[in-house]
Amino acid sequence: MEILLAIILGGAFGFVLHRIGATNPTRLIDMLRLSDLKLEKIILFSIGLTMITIFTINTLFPGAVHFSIRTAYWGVFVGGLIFGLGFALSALCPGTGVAALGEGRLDAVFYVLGGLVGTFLIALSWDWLTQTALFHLVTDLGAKVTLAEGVVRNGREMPAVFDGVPGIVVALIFGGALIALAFVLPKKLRDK
Amino acid sequence: MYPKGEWSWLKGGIALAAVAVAAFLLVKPIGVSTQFAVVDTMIWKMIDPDIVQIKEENGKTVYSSPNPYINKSNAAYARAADNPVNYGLIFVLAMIGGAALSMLTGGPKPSDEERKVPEGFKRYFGYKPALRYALAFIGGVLTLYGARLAGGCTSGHMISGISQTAVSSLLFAAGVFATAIPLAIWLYRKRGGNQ
Repeated sequence: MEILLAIILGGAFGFVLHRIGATNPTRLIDMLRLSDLKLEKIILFSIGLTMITIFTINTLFPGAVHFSIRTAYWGVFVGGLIFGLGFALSALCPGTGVAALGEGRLDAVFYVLGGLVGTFLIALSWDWLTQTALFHLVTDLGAKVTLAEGVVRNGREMPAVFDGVPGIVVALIFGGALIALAFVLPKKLRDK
Repeated sequence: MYPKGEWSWLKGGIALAAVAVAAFLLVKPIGVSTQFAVVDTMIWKMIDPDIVQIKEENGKTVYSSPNPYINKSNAAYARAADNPVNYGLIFVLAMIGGAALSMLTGGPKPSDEERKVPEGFKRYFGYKPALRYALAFIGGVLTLYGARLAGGCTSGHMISGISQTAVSSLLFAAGVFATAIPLAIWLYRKRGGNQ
């Protein structure tokens, strides 16, 4: 059953990434150099809508949403900086790079091979990395911190920045702002 | 020019949210970059079978690895590499089929030239397949190194992570755009004599 869901959900994710143009490096180049903001609008809107939807469901049916929060250590930010360099160089990211194989893009083959090498390099450097300050937590609130409260996994609630404010309120404000931003952003900020 | 057949941003945004919400409700949040570690472990295991250690303890199969990265989280990558028909890997492989299906059912279809050098790359560098492949490869190395250091990529951290209001994912997004936007603006600029 889980494998069938993997085929349906993975297939749907690849289908949508392709249908919005996200597997096209030209779109990612224009997204990053701000010369076409279509993908920005899609990302902001879909994150906002997903946020409001899952926190609404979580309020009505506690336990129905399978939350999974990642730990906030400094390596997440540094990893993001390194990721950003590669994102600009390749104009692909792990999800769009894999999906781009499905439309026969040859540069995506090189991207995925590079990705396997990058992952191998992480495996070789992991022992050293974990001993550095990169793995110190960002906040003393805890490891898996969220902004909104009510995020429960395996019976334990994650520490929230806005503790005491109902999670759905934070989600409506934050998600609503992302959706509003998607609507007000212009088509482009720079010329091609 | 983008190939014809793309959805509008609003329709696309609703569709992407629908897939993300379905994953949250039915199984777990969407993520991709973890599977690069699983495939790496599978390749590594073919070359050096000792990288995945399997023991039976009290009727349970216990995995471990001499490599600290593969060994982390109870050697989850070793377990997945030993059981390739698992949700995470099949999800990512199905993405390839999903994109192909979209292309064959009226979605954007790249030309043969576009498949080697995307139009946006050609705009600034000219038609240079070897340069494009080299930058795609180096970008692949850096994005996956960064994603695995950060514990997720654009899918796991941004779409799934920010939707859950995870602080770590906001931190990741801030890092990504802090370098990606300036580098892209510098890299993809008009050069004399290219066009």
